[in-house]
Amino acid sequence: MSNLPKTWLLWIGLALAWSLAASVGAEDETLWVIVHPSVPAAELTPDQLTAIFTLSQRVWPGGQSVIPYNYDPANSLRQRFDRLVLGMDSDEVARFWIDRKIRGQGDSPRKVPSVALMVRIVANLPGAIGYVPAGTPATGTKVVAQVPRRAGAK
Amino acid sequence: MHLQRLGSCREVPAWAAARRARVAVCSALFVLAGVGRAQAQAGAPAPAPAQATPPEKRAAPDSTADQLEQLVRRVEEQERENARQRSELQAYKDRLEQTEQATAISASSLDSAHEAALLAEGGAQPFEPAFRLYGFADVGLQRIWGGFFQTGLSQSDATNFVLGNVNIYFDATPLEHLRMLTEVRFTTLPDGAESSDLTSGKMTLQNTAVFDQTSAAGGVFTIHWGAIVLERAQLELSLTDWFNLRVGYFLTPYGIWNVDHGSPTRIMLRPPLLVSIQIMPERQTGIEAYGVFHALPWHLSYEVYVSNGRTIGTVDYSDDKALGLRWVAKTRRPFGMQYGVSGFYGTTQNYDKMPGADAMGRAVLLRKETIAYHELTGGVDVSLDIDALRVRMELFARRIVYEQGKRETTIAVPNASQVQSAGYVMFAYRLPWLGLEPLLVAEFLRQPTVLFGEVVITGSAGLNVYFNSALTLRLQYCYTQVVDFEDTSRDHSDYYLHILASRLILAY
Repeated sequence: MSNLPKTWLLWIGLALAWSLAASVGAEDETLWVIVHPSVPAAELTPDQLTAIFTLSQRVWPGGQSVIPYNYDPANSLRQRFDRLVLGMDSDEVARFWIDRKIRGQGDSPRKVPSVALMVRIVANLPGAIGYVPAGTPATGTKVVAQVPRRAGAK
Repeated sequence: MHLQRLGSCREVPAWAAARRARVAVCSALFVLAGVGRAQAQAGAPAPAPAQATPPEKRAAPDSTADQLEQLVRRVEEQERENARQRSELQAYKDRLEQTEQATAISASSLDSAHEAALLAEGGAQPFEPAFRLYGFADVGLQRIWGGFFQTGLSQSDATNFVLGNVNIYFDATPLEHLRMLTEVRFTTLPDGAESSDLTSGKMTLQNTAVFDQTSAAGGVFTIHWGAIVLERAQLELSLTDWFNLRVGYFLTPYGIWNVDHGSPTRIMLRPPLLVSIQIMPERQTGIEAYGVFHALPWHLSYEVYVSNGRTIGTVDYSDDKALGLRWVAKTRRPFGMQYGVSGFYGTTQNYDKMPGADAMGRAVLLRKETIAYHELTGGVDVSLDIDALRVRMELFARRIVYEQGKRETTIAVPNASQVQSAGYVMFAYRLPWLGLEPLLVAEFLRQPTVLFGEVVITGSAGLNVYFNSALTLRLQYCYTQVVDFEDTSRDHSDYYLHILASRLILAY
């Protein structure tokens, strides 16, 4: 019986550590979706992001072409984005794009090798959309979504 | 004074070795100071004092003040030397920095080149044409056996290794918004395959064996040529989300199986009966408008086409063009689901030509219409992806109305105008281990014939193994039985078929 408080303390400590680690992990997973400033959208919903990054939506309101940019499938940002936005793991995403090609629906979005290049391309290319880790200096772009979404966002 | 200088060295707290070193340095400095003074007196240039003034002619310091002066000069020289060395060091540093900057600029240039290429692909720069090659292939082992084999419809009931598909896609975007997609299938067919004359029912075995005259074997070497099946060749004009155009030879947009098209994408290995009998033509030549409207989280897409329709060969004998449509509503929330409706209306004719005479009595080839009918087909399809469970369902009906005396035949027996119907439902569940996905299928086909009964029912069980996103193994066993609900006096109990098939599939 004398060990009970210690056991409880141990469990509480582990729970606190786990929740702290989980909260830090969630922080790490925050991404900003950035677009060229000419894109008319002020905010994009998860459904819109899904439509854009699965190439279902190819045109912005107003007629401008949507030009999505992605990272290499092995990139951890890409894997995080696919999981949080598309709800698919790496294998499912790879299969999704293979299926599209076999059906004759074309290839996947263009890929960029680095966050810095992503920012530069999105800043310079009208209609472009990409994503970067939250807090990245994204000069010349517009942040239209946060992934995962902010609490209370529509 | 020397002692004082040395003493000044001693003032530095140190252990013995360090002290000895300092004493040695101070002594050396003293000697050098003397040498330096002699050089100064000789007026020799600083860098080469030893050569300018031989040691034997060196004047000895005559006083402490002189020695101090020499020492001061020597220190000054050392300072100048130090300054020179610092300058050289700075020069090296500058050069190193320049090299680093050059490297950085070079890397930046590469980055910029990559960026420029990406920007060009994105459309901000002048358009860059693109051409891509990809495809899929499958090989396997299969056996088809059972009582139905005795009707002669299948070619062999032995176990066979099979080369299934070897399909290559040629995907070109030569102009912005314009895409040409060509897909071909390489096959060993038609060598050794059977073809049937619908009128007489006679089966003919194709033989493509020819002597290879390009071989140095002397004309006795035989090769079997195979064919290329054109799966599709379509030109696409992408304008907006909601309106685009496709012209050429395209896969008919209906149901699930025909849209999924390839063995990597399809869940089942064996084609559904409604596809086997081509309840709609598999592909057509014409023009198609297609697009999608977003009512998030739903996407509403449509395809509408005008085509030659179902043709016996590649020629449409009528200006009464076929019309078709497909409408789909799909979403990913709360789970993946898709509902589709497809329709097709068309006419089909065929002609024979035979020698004869026209009204003026001239010898001509007279045309005679031998087949003429119109058909109306419609159906629905449902796809559900609920976590690891995948459900697929298609249900179609086709009404065929023949003109009098212009009917198709099945083994020399004329077909009746009729309503055909077919459907299937499939359940597949992706297990959390080893990429395994077992599946179950149930299907039916109602196609009344004099010879082969009225209804075909089929049950299947299969297993898919997903090794990775590109490599898949599909296995399927299928049992098919013919039943007749209208003419129960006929016994079709021996009209059954077993099919066991496997395919190893690679997408690339």
